[in-house]
Amino acid sequence: MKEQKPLTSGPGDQVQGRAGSTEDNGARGGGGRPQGSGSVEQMPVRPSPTMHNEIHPRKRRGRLGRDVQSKLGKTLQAYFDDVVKEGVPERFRLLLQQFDDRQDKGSS
Amino acid sequence: MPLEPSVREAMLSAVPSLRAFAISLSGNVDRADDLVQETLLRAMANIDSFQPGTNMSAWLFTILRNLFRSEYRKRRREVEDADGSYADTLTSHPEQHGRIEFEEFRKALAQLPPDQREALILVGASGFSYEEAAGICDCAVGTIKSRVNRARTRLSELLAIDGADDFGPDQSTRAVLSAGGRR
Repeated sequence: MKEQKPLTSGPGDQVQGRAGSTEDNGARGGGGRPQGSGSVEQMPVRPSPTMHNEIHPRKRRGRLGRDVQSKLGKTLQAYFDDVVKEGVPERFRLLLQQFDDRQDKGSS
Repeated sequence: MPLEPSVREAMLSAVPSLRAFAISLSGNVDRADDLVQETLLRAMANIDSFQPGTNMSAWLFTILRNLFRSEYRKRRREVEDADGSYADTLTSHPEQHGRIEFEEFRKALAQLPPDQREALILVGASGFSYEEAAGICDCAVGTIKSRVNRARTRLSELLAIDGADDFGPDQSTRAVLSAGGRR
């Protein structure tokens, strides 16, 4: 889905560059190159809401981008819910029932 | 005395997420179900120490977590795991979790240190707050937060999730996600 952006940029392209549109900074991805390539079709699908953190490659111990966190979160939740969907296996209903039955016998 | 119906109901309704927690921790359905069984037995035997009105689910999660911890410590003494070889054994059986789509994710999860793994699952999937997770793991809230952060960072590296890119080679994981994992 992500398109490779051309690195060539004429002087005219720089209009949007440093002026600081959030989308443009987010789109740069590779980070830090002064010559901006600001053409419109290179915007990411979801513009990053933070301007400065996202333009650098992920640091080893830094905060993760929101889209990464979101993907991780969804996968984890899906993995978890996949088990939750299975409901209560019969063996555990029986386990509680047997406990109650034993208690009943013991107390009467 | 038999269980109060409300207590019994609360226990049963916690079982599905308790199992999911156990499977996420152990990576193995059979061991997970044994853990859940042991947890329920202990809970019933100690039901007097459960305070009515408090969170049954959190109480059960605490018991299960401690059981898993002591089992893990025991196994770790038996199997040298300095290089994560024990974690590898957790992921070496394809039948451990029915869905092949989660294979890559489960492997990555198993490579996390246990304290990070449990923190991430509690906060990120089980629906507990940081405070509740701290209670379950018997540590400070800040500790949970930093474990969750480290777990996320490590997972994203293991799964090669990078910036706006999708997951590495595992298209099936994406398929699961786009099909809508959430209920």
